[in-house]
Amino acid sequence: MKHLFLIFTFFSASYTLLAQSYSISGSIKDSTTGETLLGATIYDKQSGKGAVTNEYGFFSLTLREGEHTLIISYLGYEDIIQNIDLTESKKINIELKPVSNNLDEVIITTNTNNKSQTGNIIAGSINLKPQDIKKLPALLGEPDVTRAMLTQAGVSSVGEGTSGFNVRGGNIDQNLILLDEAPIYNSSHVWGFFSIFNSDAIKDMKLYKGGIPARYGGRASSVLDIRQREGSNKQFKGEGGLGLLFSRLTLEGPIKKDKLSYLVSGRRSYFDLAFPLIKSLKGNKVYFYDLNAKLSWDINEKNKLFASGYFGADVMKLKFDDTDEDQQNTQQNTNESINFSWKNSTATIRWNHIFSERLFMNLSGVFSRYNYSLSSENSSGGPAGSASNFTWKSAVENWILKPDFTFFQNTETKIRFGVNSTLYRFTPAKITGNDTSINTVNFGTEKGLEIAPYVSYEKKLNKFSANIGLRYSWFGNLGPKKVSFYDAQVPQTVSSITGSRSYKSNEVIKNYHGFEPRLALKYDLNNRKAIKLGYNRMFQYIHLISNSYSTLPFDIWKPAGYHIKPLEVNQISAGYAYDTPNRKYNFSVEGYYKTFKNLVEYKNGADLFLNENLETQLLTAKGYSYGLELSGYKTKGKLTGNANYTYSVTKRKTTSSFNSENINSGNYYPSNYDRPHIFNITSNYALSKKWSVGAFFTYQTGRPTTYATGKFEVGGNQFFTYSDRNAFRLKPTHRLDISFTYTPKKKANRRWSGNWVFGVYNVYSHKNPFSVYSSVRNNQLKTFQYSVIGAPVPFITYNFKF
Amino acid sequence: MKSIYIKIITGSLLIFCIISCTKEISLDVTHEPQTIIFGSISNETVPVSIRIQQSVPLQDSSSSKPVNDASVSLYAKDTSGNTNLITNDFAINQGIYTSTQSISTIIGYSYWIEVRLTDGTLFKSKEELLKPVVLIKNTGIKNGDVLEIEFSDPGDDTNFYKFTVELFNEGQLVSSNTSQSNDVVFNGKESASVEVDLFRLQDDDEDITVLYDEIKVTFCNINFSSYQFYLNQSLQLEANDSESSGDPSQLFATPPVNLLGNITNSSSNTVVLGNFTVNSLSTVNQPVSN
Repeated sequence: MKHLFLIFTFFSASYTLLAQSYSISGSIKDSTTGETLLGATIYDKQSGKGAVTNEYGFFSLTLREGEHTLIISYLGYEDIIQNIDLTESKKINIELKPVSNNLDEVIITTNTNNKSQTGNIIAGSINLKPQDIKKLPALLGEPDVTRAMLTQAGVSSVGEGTSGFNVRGGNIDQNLILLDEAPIYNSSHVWGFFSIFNSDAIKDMKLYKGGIPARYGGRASSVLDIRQREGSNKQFKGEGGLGLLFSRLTLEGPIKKDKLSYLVSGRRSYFDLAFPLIKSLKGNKVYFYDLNAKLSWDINEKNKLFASGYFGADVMKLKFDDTDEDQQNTQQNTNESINFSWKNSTATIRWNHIFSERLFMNLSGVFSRYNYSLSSENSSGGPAGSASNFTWKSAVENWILKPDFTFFQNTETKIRFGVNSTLYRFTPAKITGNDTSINTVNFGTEKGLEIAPYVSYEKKLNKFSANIGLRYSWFGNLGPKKVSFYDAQVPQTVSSITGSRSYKSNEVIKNYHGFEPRLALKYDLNNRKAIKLGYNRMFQYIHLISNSYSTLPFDIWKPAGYHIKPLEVNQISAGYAYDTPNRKYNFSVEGYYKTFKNLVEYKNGADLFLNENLETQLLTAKGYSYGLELSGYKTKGKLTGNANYTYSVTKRKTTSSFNSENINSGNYYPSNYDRPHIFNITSNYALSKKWSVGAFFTYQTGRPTTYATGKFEVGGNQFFTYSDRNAFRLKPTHRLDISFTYTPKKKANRRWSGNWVFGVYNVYSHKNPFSVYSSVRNNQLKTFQYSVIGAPVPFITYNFKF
Repeated sequence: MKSIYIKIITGSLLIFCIISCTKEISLDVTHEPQTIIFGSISNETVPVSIRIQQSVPLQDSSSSKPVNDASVSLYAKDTSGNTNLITNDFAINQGIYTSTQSISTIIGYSYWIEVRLTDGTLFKSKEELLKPVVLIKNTGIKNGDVLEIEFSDPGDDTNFYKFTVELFNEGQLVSSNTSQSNDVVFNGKESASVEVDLFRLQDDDEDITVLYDEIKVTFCNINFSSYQFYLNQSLQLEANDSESSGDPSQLFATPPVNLLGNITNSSSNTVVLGNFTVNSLSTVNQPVSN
């Protein structure tokens, strides 16, 4: 590796001499906190050349020898104009000052605009800042990353309150969600009502829907790259929020000024505080909490070290007391209790090293773990089929090492390369009981190793820009594991097992590999209009096995292996981006076509519960998705906002060679989240220096569903016949949320500032259908429509900074 | 018996019931009649019954339409693979086909039925093995409403159980409830046990008192395909019995599935509604003093 660095350093130096050009490199930071600014631009007025800081805040700009006027800008910050006489390569660290809240006009005047799609080569990427999320009216007043994603074109969900999001026809397990480079396996609190990301701890979010760069892999449909803040290295600061059901607090500051900083951010819900007042909830506890922490050490000009972590949990302690108060003397109290929790834990250590003005390295070591634990006392309905005391544990772990290099050959050419190595460990179920009727059940730990070297080449030639990437991924499913073999002449069931083989620890059971080409092309019609083309192939070596409408915390992650193949997705996309002459408005149109190979579908009536032969319950499927996304932003002035419309179709079909087990007789059917028409409007209006109003409206086609179509009777019970899977659609859904923000004038010489946010979620109380189901009550058949939120939900939050 | 997961979801999301909402609606869907076949055979020497019916529209006043003109044949295969027609002599009454003679069976043999409709459509159930009987060792009532069944689980086989509790009062059946379990967590246990709710009550029926003077417990060792069928039947019954308003478990409900079992329409090569179960059963009858 050392030789490789020397070659690049030499190459970099030689190039400099030949071209008589010099590099300016460094980082761009917030002057008040020392926080690096991602996506900030540095632009040379004379040559028209520019560079953008990468996701680590680093830039490199190569210019000819001589005098230059540099303009450095970033949305929400005052521009800096800096003259420089370039006679040698230089390192400069630039600090930008945030636009003051006390300016007379609440109007942002900067030239940079993170919503414009004309500058970005990649079609289908969305950049969101925490302030974008905080402007949105939120359920119960809690700013929410997932809900913010759902306001964007091409992003949908099964319905209100469900976990995660779907991007361009992909399942939620096809989203690679990274928090400081650590993959997150369950991004939801409270079953899906809230996301696990604390907006106060976040610096930047980028969602890639198409043209996904080669450095990302492992998931097939999208990447949500979330970066945590580093914490101020200038002075101690704090911020937080007090809500009716949540509170959050963030503290940050220097341990050693300008060198070493920390950030600690915590959040906890307390809606269970009211439980003692409600008879049916007495003695129960339901809450979540999370903690983000980061240490940033600016060792010297060439080296920076970051250590960050996240820990979050949902905790449920439920008591089911069957005792009838009137019969307390005659009936025994069952004292059934269930403790359930799920947790995400991540730890990231990153080392940024600048080998030269042109060669930058980030080396990351990442650990990520998702686990849940279920313990019960006297609870029936558990794994034993009997009331028993047991503890059930399950976990998914990742150990990741990622060296990533960026070589800035010149201002127009950038080469990025590295290797992603991931060790997966899956522990589907470990059950222990103190009841003699229960065995200790241990399905063992299934392992997988993914190694993916990649290289991408980014080039700008006048009006033409290209980002060409190639990733090669290899995945091995490793032992120890017992693999069952099945009679190939009949469908796979536990009855058709013909034999098995036990694989030793770390023995490769099955491996898969392939090239994943990535391509993004852009042609600038002028500096405000661009057309784009993108292509990406992605392999996904792990699957989330779920058979419910919304995924559950106890759904099973399963690696590709002997019986289950990796998912392969190919996507081609094209777009047109347009900024108005005054750049107040940014528009984009994007279309895509996507194919899915080796999707995993569950069989009708699949039994996924504690099933060691899970493959017997699954079918392989293929699918396609296509769509058109129209989006417009207004980012300047008193009125800002976004309107977008998405037309999309997502279908799939199972491909079993035994047609009797195919879903819908092997015909294409819409996925659970196929919602052809989605229209969203987000807007904010600054009424005055103190008051602003925000609103969000959404209209969406109802999701596909399965209805009862007939009935029959067996043993005195009525049963239903059902339509094909997803043969019908629920009614369309729509909702309006509104919020008001009151920001009192900050008192002079006081650090404390605050604002009040209050509003209503689902203003006009629309009862959006989530599901329709039929049941028999007293021999009467009835059909019901269930709405997760069928009432206006008011909220109030006080946010503060000091 | 509600799944522990449903309990967790409903218990933890009770607070969201305040803002959720359920309303009754009407559905206008087209109904296509389907043939449904239910039957079973066991290690007991008794006549075999098979019920054949057609589904009816949701709004229909009747709950089923009997099929009285089919022909039914019962087959067996011995351990050497020889196939024998056991009987095709069935008496028909309101879609229920009862063999005119008691059928004696042999553990280790496989059994199946063939049903032919007058239009020539042929249905055939999967050949299912009559597995060894797993005897009930003991039964007991816990907390007044849960029946515990104790047995020894054979360790040399993957077992699937269906267990039914029937309550009788003065000879009349007043309540029946069925549950099922695989043996993953008690495989090979000498002292394994399963539980079933004594009464199958709807969520708002908790105040109803069921009087009974006799309990009959039936414990069946069944094949995997039938186990999966009964699992889905229980899920549909549970869904039918669930509370009609504000149930947050709807969020995570499994999409409903047809009760497809082990019977295939040979003409179209599709699995049809219903099941023919081969049961190895053990029963216990016990009087109860109220």
